[in-house]
Amino acid sequence: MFEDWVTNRVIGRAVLGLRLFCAVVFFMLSTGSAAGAAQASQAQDESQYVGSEACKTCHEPSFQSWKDTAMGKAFLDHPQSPLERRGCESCHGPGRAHVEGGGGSATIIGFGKTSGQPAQELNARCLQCHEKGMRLFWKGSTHESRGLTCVTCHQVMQPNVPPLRFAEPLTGNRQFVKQTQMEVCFQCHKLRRAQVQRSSHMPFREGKITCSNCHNPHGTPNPALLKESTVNENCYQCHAERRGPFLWEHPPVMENCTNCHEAHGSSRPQLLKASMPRLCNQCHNESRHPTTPQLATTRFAFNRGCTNCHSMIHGSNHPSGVRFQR
Amino acid sequence: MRTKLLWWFLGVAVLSVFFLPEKAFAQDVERKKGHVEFGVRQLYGERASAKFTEYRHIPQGFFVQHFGLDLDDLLNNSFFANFQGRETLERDQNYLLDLGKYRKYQFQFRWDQTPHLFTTTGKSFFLEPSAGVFTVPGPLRSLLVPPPPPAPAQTTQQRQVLLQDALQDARLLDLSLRRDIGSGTFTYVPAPHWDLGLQYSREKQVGHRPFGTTMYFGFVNELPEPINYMTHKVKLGTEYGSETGGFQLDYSSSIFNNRVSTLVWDNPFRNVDAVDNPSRGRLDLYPDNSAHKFSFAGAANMPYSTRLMASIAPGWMRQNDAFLPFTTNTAIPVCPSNYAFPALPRPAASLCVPSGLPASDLDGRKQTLAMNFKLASRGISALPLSVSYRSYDYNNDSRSLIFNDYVASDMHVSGMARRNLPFGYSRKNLGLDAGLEFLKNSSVAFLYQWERLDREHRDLEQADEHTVGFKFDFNALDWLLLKASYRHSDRDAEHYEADEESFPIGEGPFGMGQIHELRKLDEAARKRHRAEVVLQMDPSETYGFAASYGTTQDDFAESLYGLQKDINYNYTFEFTFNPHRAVSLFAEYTREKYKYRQRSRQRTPASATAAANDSANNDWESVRRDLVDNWAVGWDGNVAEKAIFSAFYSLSAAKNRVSTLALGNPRLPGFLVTTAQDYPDTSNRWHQVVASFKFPLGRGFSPKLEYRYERYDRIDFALESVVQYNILDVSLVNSIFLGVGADIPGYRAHNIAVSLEYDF
Repeated sequence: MFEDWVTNRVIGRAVLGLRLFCAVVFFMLSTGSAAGAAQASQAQDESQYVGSEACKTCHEPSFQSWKDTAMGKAFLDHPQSPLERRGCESCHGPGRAHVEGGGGSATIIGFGKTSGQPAQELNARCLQCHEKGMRLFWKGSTHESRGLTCVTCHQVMQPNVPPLRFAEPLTGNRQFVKQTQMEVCFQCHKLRRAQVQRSSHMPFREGKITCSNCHNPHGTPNPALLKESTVNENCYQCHAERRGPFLWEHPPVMENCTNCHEAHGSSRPQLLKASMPRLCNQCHNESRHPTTPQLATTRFAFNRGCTNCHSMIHGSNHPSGVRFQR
Repeated sequence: MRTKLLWWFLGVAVLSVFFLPEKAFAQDVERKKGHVEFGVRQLYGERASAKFTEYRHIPQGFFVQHFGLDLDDLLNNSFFANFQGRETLERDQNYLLDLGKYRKYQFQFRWDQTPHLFTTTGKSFFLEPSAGVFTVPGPLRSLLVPPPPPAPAQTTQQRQVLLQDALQDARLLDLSLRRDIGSGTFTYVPAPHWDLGLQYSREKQVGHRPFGTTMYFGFVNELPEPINYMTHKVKLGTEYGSETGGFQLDYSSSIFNNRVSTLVWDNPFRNVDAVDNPSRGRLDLYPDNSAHKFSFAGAANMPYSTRLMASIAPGWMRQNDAFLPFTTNTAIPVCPSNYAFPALPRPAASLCVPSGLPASDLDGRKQTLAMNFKLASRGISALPLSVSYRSYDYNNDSRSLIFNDYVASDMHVSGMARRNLPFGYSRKNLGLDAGLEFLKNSSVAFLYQWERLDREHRDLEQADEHTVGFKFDFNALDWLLLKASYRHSDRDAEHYEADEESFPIGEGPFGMGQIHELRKLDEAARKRHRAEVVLQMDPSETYGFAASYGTTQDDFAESLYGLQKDINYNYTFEFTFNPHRAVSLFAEYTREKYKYRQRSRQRTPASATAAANDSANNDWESVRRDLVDNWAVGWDGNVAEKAIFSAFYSLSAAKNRVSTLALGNPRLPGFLVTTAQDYPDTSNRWHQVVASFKFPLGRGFSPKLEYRYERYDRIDFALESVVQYNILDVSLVNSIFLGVGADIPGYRAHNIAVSLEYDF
């Protein structure tokens, strides 16, 4: 199979892309020392750190709450780097000035709404450890460029709390500012809250899937922060049967599922953007029945409309299936 | 019995409040290791609709809502294990088990079941002796099959009467699916900057769903499509990350297998094959397929707060299921193997189906290649800049086969040659995002994006789209957030060729092809205006207000036919009020408006006896208007020192209108558009009322009483008519719709549950 792929025409582009990719990796390694040096220069004088025990003196409830979180356990019980061993000051920065000044928000890095630090500085604290994984493409992403901070969506000072209505998939890592991930996203994407309540919907509100099944809010190189390269590749994660290749393909279907479907919810059956036959009428007017307006009492309009007959509309592999009826 | 159980449980829960020892009310200070909620539930009301349990299972009686066990300090705080479950032992149950060693390795096992109920009203007299084979019982078929000539043939009305009688004894169908997913993930950290991961998942879908088949143009025979899918997925990868950057290497594979690959069904009105009247039909269900993908991604942190990111992901898809023969209809003549197919139009007398297929399978091959490069910089702190380039190739290297002829719906030879067209495309994007931060967390940015789309075997081979816009973010004050953006896109379609070889290829000797002035919506020239505004204000800890507005306006000005306008607006308002630290009230409202305008022309192709009718006097226009309102109000908080009360009401109400108008003069000769009528309005409303009263007793015990009311109302002519199972389609004299009656009526359901939450 791999040999087949190697011999096909994408090879030229793939090789070109791979060279560019290698160039990025090479560049990364070659600039590593410079960037590392830059980081080192920013490191604070060790004497400015006071240790978590000092923080506890005034912030006992916060400390007690934080120590049971995933991050608290990692930093306090299983630190892997000098940074993590600093406990509270790993994120809040050196506390000496704060202690000596008797507290105050001006002398410590705070993550609340009243924080004096700009968004990118707050995010930089988190990215010290979390630039891997899903955050590889965070910088320059939609959410980063709109000034969102990690703490817009996440909180790390409380242990995981199961959501009130359990309306999302089970997860072992919940550190959201809201009780469900969807509610986090709805803070800004308010229209989506309405869409998932429509009559035709995927099982969002039943807690079977959630926003991050399709999107990576931390940034991806793909459109609309999709986890996969295209809309269709995303949909095929659950609808693999529609992937093909088919003998007879329906081009708008293979190009983009959202030509016909509204994934977030619709008041039409099957998440359709429009009811049939009008949906199909938008493109089909070759002759005969697709060009006729059709009465509501006909099989072109009731039940599943056009797909009453053209039921293999996503693609057919039958030699007589050119019209998606076989 | 269940009602008694409910009241018994409710009584115990209430009494427990009074009889628990005083120390039980002491405040909890130690961290809990587990939780469980169990109780009894009673349902009332009209809830037979499939909508009520579309993706869920709500059994009456005893239930375990959720449980969790969190052992996070095993073996000297080095290991952890946690296990949680939801809807235990119900048909929508799901479980998650995590265990491992901190910072070293982790196993995660997940099991999830999701039901999907399509309808509870489906009926059919067809039997399914084996998966995917549907037969009409012999005695019934002998009634439905017309007597041999010279007895007169049945009229459609006579067949309808026979069907109505037959449906009296039809069996109730289980039209539902269940999707079971099990997965296991292993992650390992061999060194501080490295991660290794391996994941396997197995997904099984089993059940039936309503599915349309056709035996001839006037006969739709809806059947329960058997679903028996299995999908295996494997993903493995590694990652390295440090302050200087990182890279990820992944491989993923997905193998799909359909265990019922064909659908075969009897013609209830015919037991002997004849041309134009087959005794059975056969349909090829989704074929097995596979997909594989490699993904390489890397990022480098460079001086001047600059990060370079790149990814390349080649993938391929395969499908080589054996083709079925053209038809099961034995009455259709087969051409001799040396038969030379004459040019079109082919004399009817010479029509025959090719003796063989041009290939035994498609040997379907698609290759995809996604490449992304992005540079994001804050070299000058107040001037964030990002530049990106993206390329996505969707190459279809499947065989392009010529079928000298084919059999339409197992009826007759079509008289037309067909060739499948391996459709493919390539998309390239270049983006620029240049900002200026004028205050803390406040910026304005200029956006530009160019997209080029090259397609194979479509009407438009190349399209360019340019987008310019700006975005504005103001968050300098801790109580005010304002975000706004506007984008204007201009897509050209200069090289649109309606005659380009595209699917479908014409309409045969008497076909007309697509109308030349039609522009398909995904290829048409388009001007798009898109704007969004979000405002959030929290002037005090007591009040909060948020609002948003959005619009997308697509203008297909060059499309004389097809979709011409696609305009939508939406706005939302949210208000929160926190009169007390422990009490929160909220209200939300959202309105969405959609409007689409499309134009078409009714056309009659030439026949042997009449010329084509392709007059602009037969143009018609349709306008669709959708209006969706969403309301919600709620309360969350303490009503007494130890009583938590949460309640909300929400309503989602949608109304859809389709208006259609003939644009021509009906008095002119050749006027055809007699069916341009408005469709009845459709609407649906979903109400939800939830009230939950919880009384934390201390020591982790919290009795809970919850009431839920849901009401769903629906008006939809497209579904209401199918409950008759057997409908005379008034557009044609000889037509029958033999449906399964897959209706989804409204429901009104009361759900009362008494439960006990216990944290331990």
